Amino acid sequence: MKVFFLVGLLIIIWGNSANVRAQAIEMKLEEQMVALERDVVRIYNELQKFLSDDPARRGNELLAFESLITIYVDEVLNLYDTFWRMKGTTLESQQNIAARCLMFRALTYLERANKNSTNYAKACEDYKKALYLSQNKLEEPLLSSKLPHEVWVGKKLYTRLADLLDSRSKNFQMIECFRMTNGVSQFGDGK
Amino acid sequence: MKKFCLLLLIIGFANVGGVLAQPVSTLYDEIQQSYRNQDYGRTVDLCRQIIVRCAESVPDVECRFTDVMKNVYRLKGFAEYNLYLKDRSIVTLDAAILSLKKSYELFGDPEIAFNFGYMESLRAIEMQDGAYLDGLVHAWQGILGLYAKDEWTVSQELVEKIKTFINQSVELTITPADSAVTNGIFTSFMVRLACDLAEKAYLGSQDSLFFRVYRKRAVEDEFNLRGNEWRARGFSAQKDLNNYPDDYNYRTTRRYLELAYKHAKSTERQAEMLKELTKVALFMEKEGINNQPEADLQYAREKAQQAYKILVDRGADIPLSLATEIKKVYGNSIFRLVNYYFSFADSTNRLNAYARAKRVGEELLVPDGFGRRQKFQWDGYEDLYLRLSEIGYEIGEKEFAVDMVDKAWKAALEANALNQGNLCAHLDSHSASELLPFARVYRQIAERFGLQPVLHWLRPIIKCIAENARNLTSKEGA
Repeated sequence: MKVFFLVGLLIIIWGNSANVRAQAIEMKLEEQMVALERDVVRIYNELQKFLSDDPARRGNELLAFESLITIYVDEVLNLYDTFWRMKGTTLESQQNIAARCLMFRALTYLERANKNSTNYAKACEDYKKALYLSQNKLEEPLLSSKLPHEVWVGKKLYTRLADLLDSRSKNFQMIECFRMTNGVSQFGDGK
Repeated sequence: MKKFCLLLLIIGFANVGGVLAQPVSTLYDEIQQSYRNQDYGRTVDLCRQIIVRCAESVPDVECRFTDVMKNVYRLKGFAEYNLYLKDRSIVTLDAAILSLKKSYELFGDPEIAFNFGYMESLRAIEMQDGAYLDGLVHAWQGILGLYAKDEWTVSQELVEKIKTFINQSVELTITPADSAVTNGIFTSFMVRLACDLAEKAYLGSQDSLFFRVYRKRAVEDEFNLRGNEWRARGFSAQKDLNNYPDDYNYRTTRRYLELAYKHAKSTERQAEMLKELTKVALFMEKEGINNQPEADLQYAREKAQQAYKILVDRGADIPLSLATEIKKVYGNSIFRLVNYYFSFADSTNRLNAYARAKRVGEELLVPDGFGRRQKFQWDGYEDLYLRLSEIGYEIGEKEFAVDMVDKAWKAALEANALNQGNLCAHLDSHSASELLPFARVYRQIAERFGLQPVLHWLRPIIKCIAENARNLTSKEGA
């Protein structure tokens, strides 16, 4: 009887510790998602600083910023996939982080849409994914909710994605993503 | 002989056949062995053999193993890099980068991404192509991947990689001025990101200092790329100006050099840019295209004056060669302006023009150090003194004129390494022709102001100078 009791106790303790370990891993991953999102916004802010600094300058540095934000957003999406694989579902907070990061990458792609015709398609893809991820039951949609980090474009401060998209006349460009499939956008060649 | 050739051919075929007969697995073992033995040439050769074998229509089964192929490309890349370290050929470095990229495509090892990123930046540094930033992006991708792989902890090994990354970033930004076509924001940002990541680890005092210093430089200075860039653009525009001297090129050059001066972080750079601005304005006045000679000369004088002030106040920061150049352009700008006003006197208010010329010229005569006769040694002083003595003659200022012509005469003698005592004995034709204008002005002044003793010793000297100078003229005529 005592043996059964001890074995049962051990199983419970082991199960609990495994649970605690799993929770610690999840916390760590979520922490990383938050940290990476902060870096994504940081890169976007730095990119805007670069663009406002000398509007005539584009080229290598703009491309480098785009590549950098892509690396970070890919890491965020990897973490998001890991959560999905671990639990078969994801939390709204994780979905929102992934959606916001995708949105910033979409905006970054747009900066070079005139130069590279595939950029607009990439931006649309990210934008659609972001909207899909942010479909939740919250009263306030993601685009209208307050951003966790400040975004500076030139000398203007933005605290909501909706304002950012509207003010830069990019919202309408993004809406075009749904209107056209193989049509012609105002950017570059036909897509 | 024919039999011998045939034998050689047979042996050759046998060898080729032997190699071809070797399975990929054996070749793979050999690659690892030769890489361990640091036989990099053979490693590359064997890797190529495997790649060729795997491209065949029915390849060995190992060709389908990602683990084998990523290692083949990895070892080939590192072996090629080692060969590059010996031969320093960019072609070999390119081959190494391509091999490692292929390995990365097959498996996505962040260590490999860091390595080929490093090599790409190295290539950009070697080629002095400061605008090539892909290497930094790829290396950073590797660093971030390694950070994730280590469960989001920063190991000492990663800290070393980050230090390498920072060093390369900085080196890339200081490629020669002509290639500094980026504005440094990206590089500066990358250094800040790198410092942030490294500081997540427990750092020793040396490492901590390293990252603090580089962050500070990146934040405050942005590696002076703003200044470097404008300097590069300025020099490039200056070349255009020299080839096609027009107002547009002149304005562009001046604007870029002024921006380079504005963004200059060091005293040396400030002085250099001011000197260049002086040169550009003097050049423009000489070309006489924009019809604003006075404005150009005044501008040149102002910039040279500023450069000289830096030299006087903070001379320890200026290298000797630059100091000499600054003095030269300062002297030239003053002399040219004096000359301009002097020549102007014929067509306008004479006295006013002479007074201006005198005032400008005197700027160079005021000593800026205790017990000094003049500001600095400049090889054009005798001409300036001569011109000023002529001005003194024209405006009737006896003391000034005599003082200047005396100085001019002495400076001319010194420039020709002559002594007044036995001048005629050592005078050659060339020196005589150089001295003649000085002697004539001296005589004019002496005559006008009644300096009889001067005329007394000057007459015989002028006579011998004129004779020697005439010899030169007749030689040239002949």
